[in-house]
Amino acid sequence: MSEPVSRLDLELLALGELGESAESMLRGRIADDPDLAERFARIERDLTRERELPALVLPVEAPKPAGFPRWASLGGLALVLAAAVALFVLRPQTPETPTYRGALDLELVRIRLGEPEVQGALVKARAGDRLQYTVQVPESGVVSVFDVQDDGTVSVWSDALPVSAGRPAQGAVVIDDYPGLERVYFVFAAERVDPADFESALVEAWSAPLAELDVVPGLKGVSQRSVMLLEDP
Amino acid sequence: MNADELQDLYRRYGPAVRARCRAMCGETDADEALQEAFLSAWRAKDRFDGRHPLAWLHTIARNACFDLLRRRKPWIDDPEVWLRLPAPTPATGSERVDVARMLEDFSAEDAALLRLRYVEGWRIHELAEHFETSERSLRRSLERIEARARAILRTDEVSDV
Repeated sequence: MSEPVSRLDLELLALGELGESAESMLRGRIADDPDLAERFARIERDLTRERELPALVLPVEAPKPAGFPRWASLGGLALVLAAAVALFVLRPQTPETPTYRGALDLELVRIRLGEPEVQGALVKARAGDRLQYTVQVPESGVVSVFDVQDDGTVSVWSDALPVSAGRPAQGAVVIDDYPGLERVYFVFAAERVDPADFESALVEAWSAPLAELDVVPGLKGVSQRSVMLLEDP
Repeated sequence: MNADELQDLYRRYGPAVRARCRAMCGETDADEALQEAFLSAWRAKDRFDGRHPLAWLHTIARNACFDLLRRRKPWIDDPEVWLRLPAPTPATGSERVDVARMLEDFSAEDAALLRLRYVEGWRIHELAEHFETSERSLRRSLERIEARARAILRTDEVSDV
């Protein structure tokens, strides 16, 4: 009894990607085996059906912003800490308000239905949008990305992203259906930042009487930026 | 690998990768899984040795599908696969509801496996290849999931009495 033919080989045959001798041998088996012929016919049908693919949008091909918008300052507002962490009572001012912090270049592109749109410090997105981020740093390390919801939930937004000095690195997140405000922190360090460390530093930051929220000051040895994410109805 | 080379892989192998994404995730989520897979491939391009690109892409796509399935659990609203499971009794309206509830307890891997098996009709050896496991192990997984499904259905029948 001969070995079963792998699905991968049948796909490669249907794509015309098998070598000449392998293709000849496989076509011979298909001719002798009705069950195999049926499997192959189904795969061919599947591939024919998938011929029209949506455009692939890679982060590197997304349009570059003329300059990353400067941070909205959140300073000057008194923060009242209640038992619950009311994270986003504070709103960013206009993006023109300059408050650059850290040494982390960040670009954000929102992809909606295949259409890229550069985003600033205030990201408007809805469930299903893909938010692609490109970071560049002067040293090699890891970028950790954390999300803080206005209900106080802190989560790791995406896998830690290894970055090389001076080389852009890209990641992407699909936006969920959370209806409230969120702040997303991009934190660069030599090593991945432990989520527990981030959360405790965040809580400490909120305890300060005049907390500024665009970075978490308690995190030592890091560069960071954050953006506000709000639902785009 | 540069962006043009990845776009070339997308043109050559995208149809095969999307077909598997659709088989695992369903039509509604296939495009997103496909895009996620190629974005992951782009991020992992430095680790690709240039050999067997379709196999490499399939592995990445499989993991992208698992991630998407974990996030959305689309099978809960699409119990087609479960209605095809070898069940001890015909599915009545009330049992369908119970089946839908039952789906919440299954993992993304279980759901993908059952969909490929019962909706797409994949052979055991194809499933073993896709999940990178042995046929024996694959059969055990199917038996475990089917037994669990049957047990839950039986429990529901008793509680209905």
